[in-house]
Amino acid sequence: MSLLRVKGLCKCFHADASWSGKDHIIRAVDDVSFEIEEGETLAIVGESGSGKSTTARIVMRLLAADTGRIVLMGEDITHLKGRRMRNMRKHMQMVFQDPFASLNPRMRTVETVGEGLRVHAPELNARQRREKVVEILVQCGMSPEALSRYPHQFSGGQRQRIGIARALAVSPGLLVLDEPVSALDVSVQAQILNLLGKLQNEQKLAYLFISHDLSVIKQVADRVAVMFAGRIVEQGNAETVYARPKHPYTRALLDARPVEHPSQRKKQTDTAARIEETVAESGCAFRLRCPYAQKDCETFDGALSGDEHAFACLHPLNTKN
Amino acid sequence: MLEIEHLSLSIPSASGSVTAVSDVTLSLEPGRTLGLVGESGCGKSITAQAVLRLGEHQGIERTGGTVKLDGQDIFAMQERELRALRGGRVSMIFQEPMTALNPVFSIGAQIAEVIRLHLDLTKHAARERTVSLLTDVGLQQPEKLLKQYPGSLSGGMRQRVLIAMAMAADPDYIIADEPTTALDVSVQARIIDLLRKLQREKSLGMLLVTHDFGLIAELADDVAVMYAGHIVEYGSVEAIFDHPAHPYTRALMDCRPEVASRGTSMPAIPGQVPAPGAWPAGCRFAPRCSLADTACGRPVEAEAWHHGGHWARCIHVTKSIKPFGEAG
Repeated sequence: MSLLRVKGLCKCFHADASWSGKDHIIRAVDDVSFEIEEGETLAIVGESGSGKSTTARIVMRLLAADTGRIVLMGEDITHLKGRRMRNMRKHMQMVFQDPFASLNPRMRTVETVGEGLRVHAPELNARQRREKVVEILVQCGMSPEALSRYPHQFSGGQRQRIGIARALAVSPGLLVLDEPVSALDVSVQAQILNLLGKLQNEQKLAYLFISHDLSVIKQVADRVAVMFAGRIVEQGNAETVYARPKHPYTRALLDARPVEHPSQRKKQTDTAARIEETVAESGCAFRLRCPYAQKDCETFDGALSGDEHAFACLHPLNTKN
Repeated sequence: MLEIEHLSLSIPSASGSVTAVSDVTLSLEPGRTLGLVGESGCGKSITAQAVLRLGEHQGIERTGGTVKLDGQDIFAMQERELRALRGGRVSMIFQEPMTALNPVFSIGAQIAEVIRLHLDLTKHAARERTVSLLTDVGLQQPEKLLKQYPGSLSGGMRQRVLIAMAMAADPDYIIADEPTTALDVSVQARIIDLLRKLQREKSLGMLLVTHDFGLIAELADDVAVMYAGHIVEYGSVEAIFDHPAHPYTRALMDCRPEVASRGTSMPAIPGQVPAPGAWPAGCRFAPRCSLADTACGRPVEAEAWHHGGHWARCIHVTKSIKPFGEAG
């Protein structure tokens, strides 16, 4: 049984119609399905507007899906309410992107990290709670002196450690990490990624890791799902997807990464700006930017095919390349 | 030639002003790109801004050294000369395409303002120039774009508009401060292409400020690595990538996620960049350095180690550097 099973999630937003007078519907998340096993990392990669963060927020029940189901530890939580939902929340916790905005500036670390325990472990008294908070902080590489300090007294990396400690306090099985290292310097980024790896090994945590950064994802993901215009266009084992991408969009994303060494600089021709951000309204959303697009792409429904390595493309790339 | 000579800058803090940049010397020739790389808080952005004397109203003060443009001292310039310099001979591309444009003026009006400030053109000629600039940066339907407002453009399009604006007065030098950091990877790739193309065609000198070695690998000819307010290593981009000499440069390059191998623990640098005012008296990197010993407690000269034009502010380079005979 999967720890988390998500099936057919859809979410539409109505764009502000007051300006143009036209009602415009944006399909932010469109028929998204995936599963995460215990102790596993599934990474969702995509560019801004691909729907990856919206997916994370729906999974966390911070946003209601229009349709689809979310099953956590065998229980359908899509429409759970009140105490029953609260009880399920301790099994999944979230770490946010911006460590400067996601901690309450008026709360000391002991309160920030201990808050979840007040709700989910009411049997603990103040002293026991404090001990538990210290234990988690130490696990996250912080010293106990951090307890009585406020967020502004910490660096970005330390704040992110506190954010992770807060999420771990209630012993969840699943962490949803929304761009957890994007706001950090590269040396600190490595510290946090190492911490996440260590915690996962120790506690068999499952991660839903949202990122735009293919290099970071390569470091952490067991499986990867590539999102484009609200849909998963390719999903599979991370090494396979990186080595032998099937969807032209995945290939384009991988090729767009900066080179690792100046000797690898390639000569490219500058394509016009409109093209790079165009999304087709019908058929395959990528077809206007796709070098392999053909007539039948105009009516393609975007369905994924394949099991272990699934992709939504009528003209997938040849694996031998 | 754009020369930064022994520049030191101080920033205001709760306990008076503290030194944030100390004794930085760099030079940039037309047609070349100098990458200034380091983590946040190293002083790279305020160094770059000092070239245009920006930041003075925020209390950033020059405490030593100067900046010269073709021999002319920028710090001796009058306000009128500075206005002609900024956006004229030297222009700037900022990181945040979302905030660097004024939301209440149309794209056309904002670019035309720069043109008319610096070039003696009629309204009509300025408009034509705006259209051709927008075309140069790869924006389609420039005529229509003139009337649009920043709010209706995507991040990538705004960054192109900002680049068009920076090119408006045909500058000799351009300062690009994290020009692609806020952009998606596919948009970033196109902006890199665009900067490369403009630089080649106009023989621009570019000072590229970034924390991203990928961007350096794509664009830079020469690289200066900055740490805690001063340059710790300088060399050609090939020398820096093939034979990084300073332990900080090596550590920074090793913790890039794109080069680490999966499943293993990534090399990280312990601790963090010390804040201005809290710099160690000796080598400023010593507290985080795996090679540090008691000798590192004394200040280190800029060219403590050098090999041709490649130098590093470290007394233990021979312990850290890859032998020069080996291929990169």
